[in-house]
Amino acid sequence: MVLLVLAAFMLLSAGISYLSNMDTGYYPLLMSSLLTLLLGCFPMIFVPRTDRISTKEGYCIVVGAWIVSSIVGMFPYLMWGGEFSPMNAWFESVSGFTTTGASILDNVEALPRGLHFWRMATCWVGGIGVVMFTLVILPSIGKSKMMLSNVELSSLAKDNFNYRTQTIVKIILSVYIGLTAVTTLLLKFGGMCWFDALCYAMSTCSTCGFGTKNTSVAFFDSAVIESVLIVGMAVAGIHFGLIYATVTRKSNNIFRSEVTRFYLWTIAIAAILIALSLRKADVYPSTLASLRYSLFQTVSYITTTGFAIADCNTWTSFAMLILIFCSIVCACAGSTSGGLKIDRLLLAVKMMRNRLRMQQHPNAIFRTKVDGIPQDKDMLNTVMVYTVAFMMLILAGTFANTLLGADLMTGFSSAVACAGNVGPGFGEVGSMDNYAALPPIMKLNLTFLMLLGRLEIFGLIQLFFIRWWR
Amino acid sequence: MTGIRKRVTIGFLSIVALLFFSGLVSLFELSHMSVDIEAILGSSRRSIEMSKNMLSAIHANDRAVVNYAVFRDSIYADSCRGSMERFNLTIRQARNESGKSSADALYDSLGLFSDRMEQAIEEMLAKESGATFDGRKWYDDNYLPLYNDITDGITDVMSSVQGSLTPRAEQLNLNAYRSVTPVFISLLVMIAILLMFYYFIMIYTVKPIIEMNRSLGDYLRYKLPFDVKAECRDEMHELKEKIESVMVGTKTTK
Repeated sequence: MVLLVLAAFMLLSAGISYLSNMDTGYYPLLMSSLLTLLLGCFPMIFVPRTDRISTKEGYCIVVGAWIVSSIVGMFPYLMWGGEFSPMNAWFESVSGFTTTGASILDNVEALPRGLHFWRMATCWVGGIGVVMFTLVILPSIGKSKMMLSNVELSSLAKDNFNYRTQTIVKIILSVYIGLTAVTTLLLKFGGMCWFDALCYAMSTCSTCGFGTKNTSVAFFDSAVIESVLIVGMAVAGIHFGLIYATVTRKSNNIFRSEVTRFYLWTIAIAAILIALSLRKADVYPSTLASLRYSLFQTVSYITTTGFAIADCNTWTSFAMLILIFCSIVCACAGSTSGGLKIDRLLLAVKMMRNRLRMQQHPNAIFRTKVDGIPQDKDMLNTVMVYTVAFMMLILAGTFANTLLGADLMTGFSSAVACAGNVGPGFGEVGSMDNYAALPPIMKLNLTFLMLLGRLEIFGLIQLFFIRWWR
Repeated sequence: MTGIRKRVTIGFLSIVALLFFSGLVSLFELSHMSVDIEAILGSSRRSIEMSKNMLSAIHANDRAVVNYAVFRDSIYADSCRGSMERFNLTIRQARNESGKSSADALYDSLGLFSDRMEQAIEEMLAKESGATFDGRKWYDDNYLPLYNDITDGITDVMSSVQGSLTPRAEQLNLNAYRSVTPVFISLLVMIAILLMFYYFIMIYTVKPIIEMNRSLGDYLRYKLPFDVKAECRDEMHELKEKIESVMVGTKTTK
């Protein structure tokens, strides 16, 4: 079913190619669509519908769906050729589906429109999750839908959703599509053409960061467009359930959410600190210019989008450090952003505070609460374990990258950028650069990090343990 | 969709469709490549032909001039002028044929040398009637340098035109890889589908038959209960149920 959704998007991209005077992307997209359709339909002839899916089967389905989607996503790139060697096509496909937004293209503008749209489609589908799209289409078949959505969404993401699985899926999709539509219209009014507006809206709402221009958003040099994108990215970084509650005027809206307040305050403080650092170092001529660039880049990095209006490699070390912090922490659970999630940081901070209080008052009982709700120990343990695992993943990624020849800044920042699904790092993979110059083996390593980050590490890793299969 | 027959038929038709699709794509891409190769070979052939014509014309002129100026054979006077006109015609034809701006400068040079040679030949024809004219000396000092310039110029033109085909050949090389990729991917997809087909046939058809055979054998030999562990669907499931009902019927009649 996932492949049928992808085939539909490929056909849509081929349609866009057709409307663009049958550009060079038409035949590759059409052929890819046919092949994907065949590949997707075939199992449906034999595999029976089932009411029950075990946890293992659920994990296999979700992880398999992501990997197969990434493989199938390569087809149009490979058939088109250009800069897309097999490794480059794999990198671009994984980067799109995991909404990392890291690109191997030296010349993005050389792509035909159909392929541009396909790139955006991969990140738009990946933003919400390749399985989520199919869950809305599948009829309710017992507990299998709940099982699949449990695997696709993290436990943090399922907070603030007090509905049945089918309803949750519909809420997420409706918020997602609504946000994309509104952003498209606003970008159009901001001065983009319809095609660019749609592409950048899809990339914004999925917090991917793919663009249609070589210099990303800097190409447009428009404060209006940057403002729309800042708001779009920031909103896409908020839990979709809260957005839905806010729009439908329910009580558990974004204004009452402690996590959302923490997230917005983090953006504000980070942007101000960066602006002050840039102003002090005279990187930009005025405070307003410093604030403009710092706010955009902060929101871009913290939401793991990765759009750029400035070359952050030329910024101060302090500013770069803050952006790296933003790349690790990232936005709210239940949004399309990747990374550690700010919910976990908030929980970790509260746990540390409680620990300090316990040392002062050993007999007192301190519960870790979020929005006034005490969090159970299992949840807190899971948060800490995931945080440690994420840091270890970045460390392992950095080791691997430096072993494969990267300098420390490039190796570390690319590991952070890929594990957190941000996209741009620093060094050779800065905000105005790309991943083209990296050796193929390093690109493979980075794609592995992207998948681990997107699948919240344990989902993918456990498949490599023999004991899990028994 | 029910029935083993329908599933197997659809499975095979999918594979046939994919094979047909791969064949069509490879035919399409190969015909494109064939057209490109033909275009490159045609350009190469034409440029060699033009260069051959130019060389042939200038050699004819050389023979005529030698016979007239050195060996004083007056019947070659018209041949000197005629061969120059033929040479100028071949330059114009070659220039029209190539239509490339990169070789235009070289054709201009050739034209210039040709004009000088024509002038030299006219001067020679005018002087030749005088008694003091030294044909041999004129040939060595005036004609031969121009002749060498022209033959070098023709060589340069030919090299330039052939050289301009190199990027097209390299592009063809890249296109060959791109042309083969869709076919390659189609074949990979077909292999994946074949493997899936094999897997599903084994799970839903072959394994149930083997299990039923084993279980029937156990029942006949050891009177063990008929127990099929494999997943049965469609006609396999019906067969299993019918066997079970036959056994139940047999027990009842006993």
